Amino acid sequence: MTLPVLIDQLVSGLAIGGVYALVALGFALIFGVLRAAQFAHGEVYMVVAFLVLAVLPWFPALGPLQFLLVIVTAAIFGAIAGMLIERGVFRPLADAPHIAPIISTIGLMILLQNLVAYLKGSELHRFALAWPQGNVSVGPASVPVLKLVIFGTALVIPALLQVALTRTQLGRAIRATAIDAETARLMGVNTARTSLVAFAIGSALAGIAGVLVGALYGVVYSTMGVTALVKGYAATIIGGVGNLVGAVAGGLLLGLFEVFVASYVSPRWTDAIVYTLLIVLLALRPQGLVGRAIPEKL
Amino acid sequence: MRSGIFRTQHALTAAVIAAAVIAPLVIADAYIHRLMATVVLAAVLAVSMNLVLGYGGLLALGHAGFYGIGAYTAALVSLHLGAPFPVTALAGAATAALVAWLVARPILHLRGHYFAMAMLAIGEIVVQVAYNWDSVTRGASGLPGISQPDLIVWTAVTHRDNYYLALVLLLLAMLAVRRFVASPLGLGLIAARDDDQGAASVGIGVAQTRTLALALAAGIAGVAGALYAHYITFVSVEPFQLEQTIALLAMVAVGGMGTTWGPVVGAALLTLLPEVLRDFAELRMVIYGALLMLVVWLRPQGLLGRGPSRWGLKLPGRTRPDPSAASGAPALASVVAAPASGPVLDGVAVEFRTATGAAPARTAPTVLTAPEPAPTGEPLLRVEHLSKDFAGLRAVSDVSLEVAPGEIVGLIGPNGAGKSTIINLISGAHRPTSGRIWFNGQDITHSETSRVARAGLVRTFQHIRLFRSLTVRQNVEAAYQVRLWLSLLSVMTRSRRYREAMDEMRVAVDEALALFGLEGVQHQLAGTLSYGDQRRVEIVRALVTQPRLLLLDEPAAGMNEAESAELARFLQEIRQRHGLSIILVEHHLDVVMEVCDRLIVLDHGTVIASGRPDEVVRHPEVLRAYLGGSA
Repeated sequence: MTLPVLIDQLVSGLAIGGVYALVALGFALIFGVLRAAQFAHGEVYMVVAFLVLAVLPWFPALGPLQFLLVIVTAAIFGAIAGMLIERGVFRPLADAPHIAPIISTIGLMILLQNLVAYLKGSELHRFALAWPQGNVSVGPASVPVLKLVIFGTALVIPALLQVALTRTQLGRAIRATAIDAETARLMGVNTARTSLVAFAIGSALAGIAGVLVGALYGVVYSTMGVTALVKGYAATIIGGVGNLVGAVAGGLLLGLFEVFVASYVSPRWTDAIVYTLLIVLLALRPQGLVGRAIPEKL
Repeated sequence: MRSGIFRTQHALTAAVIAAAVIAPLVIADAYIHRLMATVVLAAVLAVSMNLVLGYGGLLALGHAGFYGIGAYTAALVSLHLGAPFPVTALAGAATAALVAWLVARPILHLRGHYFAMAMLAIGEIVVQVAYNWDSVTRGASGLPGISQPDLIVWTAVTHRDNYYLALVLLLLAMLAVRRFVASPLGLGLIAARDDDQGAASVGIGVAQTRTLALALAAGIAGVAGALYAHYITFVSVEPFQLEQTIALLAMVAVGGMGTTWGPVVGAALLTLLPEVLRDFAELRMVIYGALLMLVVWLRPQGLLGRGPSRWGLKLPGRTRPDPSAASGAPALASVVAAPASGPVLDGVAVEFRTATGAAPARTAPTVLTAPEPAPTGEPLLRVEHLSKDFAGLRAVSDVSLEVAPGEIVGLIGPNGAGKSTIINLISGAHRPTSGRIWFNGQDITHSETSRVARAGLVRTFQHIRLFRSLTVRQNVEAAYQVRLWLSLLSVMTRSRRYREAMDEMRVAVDEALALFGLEGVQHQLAGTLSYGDQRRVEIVRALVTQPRLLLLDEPAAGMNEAESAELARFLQEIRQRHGLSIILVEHHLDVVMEVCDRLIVLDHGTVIASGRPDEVVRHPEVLRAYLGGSA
C-alpha cells in the first residue's frame, strides 16, 4: 500500500460516500418528518438523472457554471418529483397503516423503473459532464477533480441544509414536525406544508445525488435506483434514524468502507463483508453509530 | 349464531380447497398447471412472511434469503448425497430455521427500520455468498441437474404433480401459521406488535417469541425453497434476491396483513397479474406498478384486511378480529363450545356490579392464587438509594423504600414528583443511575421488564397499554402465557399436554374476567372499550400472571367516584384473598386513603414523608408540597 494509492482510495471512497450521504440525508429527512419510508427514493434519483441527461445538450459548456446549472436543474426536478409523490402517494395514505405507503412506493418504484426502461431502453446510457475534467495532485497522488467536486458538493449541501433547518422559521417548523408532528400542529405549525417542503428538499437531494453518481461512473441506467435506495437506507440506519448529521456520516463511512474492503480484502466479497459489519454494528449499537438511545415515554 | 358463521367459513374453506384440487384435473393444460404451481409456491412464501410481517409487525426485508438457503441446501444435499425430497426438504427447512434463529438473537431487540435493515443485510449476504462461493454454489452459473421431487413411493414429474405437492405444502404452512397464531405464543407475538412495552410488562418474552416466529417462517420458506429447487431442477441466485422479498411484501400487504387468506389472495393476484398483462409486453410491469399503487390507494389495509375501503366497498365478513376468526382457532372455538359460565364464575363479578356492601366469605378462587411467598420476615420489595438522571435532570434522588408481603403502599406526590419514574425503574423499563432493587430476595436492579414480571412483579401503565388489535379475552390470554411452558412442537401438534394447558387457561381466564365483570365484553377489541373498562382489563391482565407485587400507575384515572370506590374495594379484596402486595400511584386521594396501609410522599424526586395515611396527610412538608407556601 503506497501513499498515492491510499489517497486515491480515500478520495474514491469519499466521492461515492458523498453520493450515499446525499441519498441518505434525503431519505432521513423525509422519514423524519413523515415517519414513512420512501422506497421509491432511488427512483427519484434515477429519473432525475435521466431528465438531466435529456436536457444536457441545451446547457452551454461554461465550465463550472454548467456544473452548477446541472446541480440546480437536478434539484428542481427532484423537488418537483418529491412534491408530486408527497401529494399523490403519501398524503392520501396519511391515516393508513404504516405498510401502505411502503407498498405504494414499491409500486411506484416498479412503475418508474419499467417506464424508463420502456422509453429509453434498459441498457447503460452515457452520462458525461463537460466540467470538471482532468486530475489534480493531492500530495503525492493525482486524483480526478470530479471526485473532489462530488465530495465537496456532498459536504456543502448538507451544511447549507443544516443552516436552513436551524436558522429559518420553516427549518425550525420542519424540525419540530420531525420531533413530534402532533405537538407541532397544536403549536400552530402547518405540518401539511412542512411535510411537502421536507419531501421537496429530500427529493432534491436525491436528484443531485443521481446526477453526481451519473457523472462519477459516466453512465445512468433504469435500475440504478435500487442500489441507491439500499445504500442510502443502510447509511441512514448506520447514522441513526432521524439523525441528519448521522445520515451524512453514515453515507461517507459506508463509501469509505466499500472502497477499502474492495481494495484490501476482496472486491467480490465486499458487499457480504459490509453487510456483515452492518449487522455486527446494529447488534452492538441498536440505535446506530451516531444515534442516541432515547428512553420511551411510558 | 357464531357457530353458523363458523360453519359457513368451514364450508368456504372446504370449497376453495376442493376447487384447488379439482381444477387441474379439469383443465388439462401444462401452461396453466405451471402457472398454478408458481402461484401456490409464492403463496407458501407469502403465508410464511405474513407470520413475521403481519402478525409480528416486523419488516422482514430478507425473507427471500431463507427461501434461497432452503433451495441451495436441498440442492446440495440432493446432488452430493442423492437424498430423496423429504430429506432435502427437512435439511432445507432446518438450515433456514437455524440461520434465522442464530442471526435473530442479536438483532431482534432492534426496532422498526433497524430490524428491517438487519434483515435486508441478511438477505443480501445470502445472495452474495451464493453468488461468490464458486466451489460450492458454482456462482453465477448455478447448480443444474437436481432430481425431481422424489417422495420414495412417488415422484412429482409434471407441472401438475408439482402443483399438488406445493398445494400440500401450502395447506400445511397455513395450518402451522394458524396454530401458532391462535396459541398463546401467537397472541404474545401480536401483543408485542401492538405494544412491546405492554407485552414485556406482563412477562411476555418479546425477543424469544419473535425468534420463534421468525424461525418458523424461515423453516417454511426453506421447505418452499427445497421444493422450488427440485421442481425447477436448477438453482441460481436470481429468485432469492431483494426483488423477491419486495414482491412478497407486496403480496402480503395487498392481500391483507395478519389475515389467514390475505397472503394467498395477494400471491395469486400479483403472480397472475404479469401473465394477464402479457399482451402489453414491455409496458406490463409499468401497469403492474400502477395497479399496485391503485390497490393500496383503494384498500390501504389490503383486500381482506379489516376496515372500510376508500369508496366504501365493504367486503363481507370482516368485522371480527382475525387471530381467532376463520377455521377452528382455539380462542373463539372454545368460547363456542364452553358453557357460558362455569362454577368458578359466580361471585366476585356479580358482587362488583351490584356493589352490595358486605364482603362475602367465599372460598378464594384457586386458579388466581399465587404461590405462597416464603415467610422469611423479609420485605418483598426493597429499594435502596435509588436515583435516576435524565440528561442532567435528577428525576429520582436517593429514594429508599420497602414493601412487606401483603402490604398496600401508596406512592403520592405532585405532578413531576417522580412517581412514575420509580415505577418504571422498579419494573425494569428504565435503568437506574444508581441504587439497588431487591425483589423476593433477588437483585433485579438490572433485570429486563419481562424477567421482572416473570419473577412476580407486574405493573400497569399511566397511559393504558393494551393490545389494541386483540380482544379483551385475548389480552388476558396473551398475559397468561407466562404461566405456561409451550414448545413450538406442542403448539404445532396440539399435544395432549398442550390441550390440557389450554383448558386450564380457559378456566383461569374466565375467572379473571369475572373478577371485574368483563365477561360481557370479552370478545370486543380492547381498544374499543370505555376508558374505565380498559383500566380494568389492564389490571385483570396483570393479575392473571399471578403476581406477588402489583404496581398500579394511576388505576383510577378516568374513573368516576363510584367506579373508583369500587376499585378501592376490589384492591382490598384481591389483597385479602391472594396475599398480594400493591404499590399504588394515584391522584384520587379518597382511594389512597381508604386502601393504603402506608403512604410514601414524593416531591422533586425525594421522599418527604412516609407513614400511616392519616398521619401523612397532616405532615407539614406534605401540605407544603401540595398546597404550596409554608402551611
